[in-house]
Amino acid sequence: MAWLDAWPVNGAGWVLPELERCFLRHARGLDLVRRLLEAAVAGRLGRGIIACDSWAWAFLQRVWAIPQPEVYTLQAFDANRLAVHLLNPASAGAGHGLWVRNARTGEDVLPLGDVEGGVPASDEMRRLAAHCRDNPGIAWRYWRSHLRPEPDPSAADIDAENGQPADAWPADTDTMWWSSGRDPVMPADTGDDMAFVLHGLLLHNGLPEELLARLMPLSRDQLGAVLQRLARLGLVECDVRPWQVAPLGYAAARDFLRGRGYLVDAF
Amino acid sequence: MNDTDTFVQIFRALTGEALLDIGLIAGTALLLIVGFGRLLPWLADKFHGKPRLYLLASVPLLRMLIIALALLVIIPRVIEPTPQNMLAVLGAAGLAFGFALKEYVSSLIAGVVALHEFPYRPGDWIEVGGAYGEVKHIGMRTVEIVTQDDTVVFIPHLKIWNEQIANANDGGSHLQCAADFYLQPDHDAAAVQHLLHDVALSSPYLQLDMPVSVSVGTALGDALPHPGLPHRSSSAVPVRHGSHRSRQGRAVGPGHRCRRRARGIGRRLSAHHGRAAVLVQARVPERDAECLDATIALTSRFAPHSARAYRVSALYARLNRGLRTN
Repeated sequence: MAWLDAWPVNGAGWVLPELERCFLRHARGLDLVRRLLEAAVAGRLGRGIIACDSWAWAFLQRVWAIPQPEVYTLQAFDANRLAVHLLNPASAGAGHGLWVRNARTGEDVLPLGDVEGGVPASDEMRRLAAHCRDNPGIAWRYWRSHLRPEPDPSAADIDAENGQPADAWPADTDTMWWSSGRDPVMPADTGDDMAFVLHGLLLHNGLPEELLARLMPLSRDQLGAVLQRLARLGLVECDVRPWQVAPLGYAAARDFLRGRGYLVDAF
Repeated sequence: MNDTDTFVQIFRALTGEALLDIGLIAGTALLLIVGFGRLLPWLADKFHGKPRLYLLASVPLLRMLIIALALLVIIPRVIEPTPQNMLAVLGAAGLAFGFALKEYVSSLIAGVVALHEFPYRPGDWIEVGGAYGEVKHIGMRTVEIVTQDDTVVFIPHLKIWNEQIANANDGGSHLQCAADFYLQPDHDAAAVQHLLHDVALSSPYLQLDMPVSVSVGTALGDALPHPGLPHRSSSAVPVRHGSHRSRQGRAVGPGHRCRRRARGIGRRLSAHHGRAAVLVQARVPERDAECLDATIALTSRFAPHSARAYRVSALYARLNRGLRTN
């Protein structure tokens, strides 16, 4: 609360990039965000921008009725925009052109194209965009994890049958092969414990284990076991940040929670 | 003698071949019943929500159909299937049933009606004759429920003729849970109301898509005896699992009376809010009262495989903990 009371009101604009860090789903963890939103809407904090994770936003709408709908979100990354995003050397991590083909069929996934002029979307790209719900961050992780340097033997055979030499593409172009691999799946015996942890992590956009233990109806030992099991399944990770739902497991976790009737985000 | 001959003529001679047929039919029917009885629940465990409940509900229905088909096939092998013979045998059987097995047959017929009207299905939480628990199995004559203290109760289907059956979730995947709280009289009612609201909102068992309703009364209701009175003991509000103690050291926990009351309030709120997901009712005593009594009820999700009693006590622990910390 002291943080909010010491809010500098000097007329300068401000940005609060992670509203989800301002609350905990706990009986004593909601007052701060209520006060913050109330003060921001009333104009007592001056002019500013608040950014919020979509899951936290879905929850906060139940916590405090947001009176004005001045809420904006980034445009979804559909297949075309996603192709441009992934082809961009900066995002692709390469210094020159990239040609990505399906590792099994040899078909173009990301054809050689001009980023400025737009890139035609392949069926693979449409499937990727749909699977990642047009979320560029998840799509990027998904994309990188499924790239490989060598094709399947079947794809090489296709090139040979078509009489296409292996060096048919420009010299300054790298060819990568893309294959949709096995994604994490929710186990059939998933119970309440795992659902609670996944939902808690999504609502808070990741939490350290100590805080998560205070929010879950689980003992610390139980929580640790659940987290380790979810990590082995590839559904959560704790590499750099606190525990969070792994990007590759996001689709499975979201579908599972939606199927169980949990609150999910609107995206 | 003539009567005896006539009676004997009704039945066919049971040859070895006929007995073999009957045995095979009965055995096949038994295998099918056992097979479906294991296969469908196994299959149902792969699903969640309504598909699971429908699969479980189809078990007794299939069993009834298999038995009826087996009888239809077996009877002509035992009785000469003329109208007179059928009338005579069925009449005699009906008379015997009517006198000797009236209750049993009534339960059987009620079981058929239950399959049609669905007053309960496997997975539902029902209360019949004071017994409250989860429906585990619907048999030919009885429905088996498991109460919160892990007791199996067999309830004859004939109860549906003349007893009220309360179904807490009615095929859905969520229901209301209720718990009593006893607080000191100097608590700020508004603060308690606010806190209970947040306690409910922060429960991971909560169905967030449903509205939260909070109401505060200004007097103790008749249905809620004064906690300070001698008869308000821990046994009056049974503590099934994981009892917890409030500030006054009074053991409290989820109980039938509280649950029924909460359910009734939920129905009243339904008229205003559609479905009352969370109900928090804090009762503020008169100035001379000794304590404040609050009831919180919220709609929670439940999984088919875990014991609800644990969930209720876990929820209750959270609620109580939330109150203690304030």
